[in-house]
Amino acid sequence: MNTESASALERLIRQNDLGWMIDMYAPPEQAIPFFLKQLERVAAEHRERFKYEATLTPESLNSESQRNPHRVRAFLQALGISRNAVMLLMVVRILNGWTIREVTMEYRDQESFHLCVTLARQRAGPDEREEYHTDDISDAALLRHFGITHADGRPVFNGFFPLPQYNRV
Amino acid sequence: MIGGHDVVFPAVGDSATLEACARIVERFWPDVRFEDAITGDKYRRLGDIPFGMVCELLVYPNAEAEAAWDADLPGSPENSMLSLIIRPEDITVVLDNPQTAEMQSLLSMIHDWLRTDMHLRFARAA
Repeated sequence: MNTESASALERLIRQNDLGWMIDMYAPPEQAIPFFLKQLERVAAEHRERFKYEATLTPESLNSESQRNPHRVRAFLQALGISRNAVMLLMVVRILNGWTIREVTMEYRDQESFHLCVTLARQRAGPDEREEYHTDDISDAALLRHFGITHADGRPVFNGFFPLPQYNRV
Repeated sequence: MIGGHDVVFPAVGDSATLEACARIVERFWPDVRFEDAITGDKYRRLGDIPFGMVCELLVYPNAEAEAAWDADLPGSPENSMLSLIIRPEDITVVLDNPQTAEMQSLLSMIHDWLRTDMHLRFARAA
């Protein structure tokens, strides 16, 4: 593990009032290595799906936080929720401008859970959609970050945004 | 210049709010172009905009409208540019005519998004 990257990520997490992500991890000293590994997994998932590299490092997040602090905060909050690189990649894509075209969720008490989020660019054709699936109910918490509105009475999920900073540890 | 109707929404006027409004405009104008009103920096894609560094965003429906405004051509079509301005306590949409069906729909969508956002922010803060 690169010490500078580890320090940068911890600083970024704490600056965004998300210190609980580290302090509540068991054991806490393993939190940053785990989150760094998660960033690598998301980058690998991106490479696998889209065949080009995504820059997703503590340094790139730090740089982006100057330009778009809300996006970085939203991503870090998602990193604290989801253990699933596929769903974290979904978050990255929405933050980068993709639109939420479809969400389906199935849940049966103590039996099963499935969530599928379909994304596309604003001008994409019907065959340019991207699907993100998960069976982990923890990922349902990501839906809290979706902006909600209506277009002439029709439902719209609009973007992925940070939740208010109410968890200060 | 824009006709000068200011529609002011009480809001937390931060980078997230500005991005949400820009995303809503993009839904109406798929070929949208953006410009930082202060620096003049232009953006073809919403994902490229540094919302944390922008407090007034000009939004054009397409490249032609943007070019017409850049050339300062007389007789720009109505609502061929919007301005989104954030302050800590509100966000303002400046446009020519808020009474058209398209703009009514767009403003309603922004209002709806802000209502949910304010609920989330202040319900949790309480």
